Amino acid sequence: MIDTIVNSGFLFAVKTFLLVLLSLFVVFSAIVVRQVQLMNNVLTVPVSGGFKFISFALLVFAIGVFLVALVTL
Amino acid sequence: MSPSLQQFLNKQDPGGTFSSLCILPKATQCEALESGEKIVMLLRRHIATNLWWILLAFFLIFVPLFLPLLPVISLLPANYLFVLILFWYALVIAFAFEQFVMWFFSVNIVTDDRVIDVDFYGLLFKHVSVADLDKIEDVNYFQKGVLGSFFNFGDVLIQTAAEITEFVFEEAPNPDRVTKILSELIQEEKKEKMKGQIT
Repeated sequence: MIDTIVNSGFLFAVKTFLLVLLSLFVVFSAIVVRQVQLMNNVLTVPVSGGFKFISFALLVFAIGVFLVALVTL
Repeated sequence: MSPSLQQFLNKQDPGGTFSSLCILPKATQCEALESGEKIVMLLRRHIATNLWWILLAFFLIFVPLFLPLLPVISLLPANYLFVLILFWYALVIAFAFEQFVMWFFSVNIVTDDRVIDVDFYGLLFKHVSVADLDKIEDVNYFQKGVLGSFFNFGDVLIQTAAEITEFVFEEAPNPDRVTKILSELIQEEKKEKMKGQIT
């Protein structure tokens, strides 16, 4: 059954779909980093650095998931 | 700010960094502030208004447990499933973070001179409105719904004689307290103006 699915190109379609979605998610995460920078400019609070760190961590995570997908799929 | 007003404000609960109502917040700056202007009150929507996305994010955490039940997903090899689950959790984290920063940074600021309303709409869109305290004509509030009554939050409506005729502090916590502090500030500002202290 799985062989049939692989031969039919289903997995290739899923892989392409996932990679496109993940690349869009990387772009979205980069926008979130910029958004948090803008928000920190508007309102500066003692925890501003923490928000910046989390947004960067999210971007790194998004890039990491994209690379994992690229290597393992 | 007069000593009596300062004393009145010092009696209020100051709130913390993540509070939805902070009185005289420390180490907080806003780009819309003018030099010498002091933040008296910083408001966000009541923390209870975040319940919907916290609960949703909590339920979304458990969705991958049910993924193998879907016929199409169950046919995928393990590595595909692994990437799919990683992606799912990245999306959930991004959703929760996005909701949190939207709540945290969409603020209403009351200074000793003005009222500043900062709203963020989606990604990269912001709207900042400003009104002078001495232009404010009327302040009132209304509470609506079960959640509003239960958690004590409501909309504070500020009528002004400025270009923007109405400010709304949406879902503000302790609206009676907010209205009282605003009224005190407006009275103080009008007194100062009458004394000719404002040039």
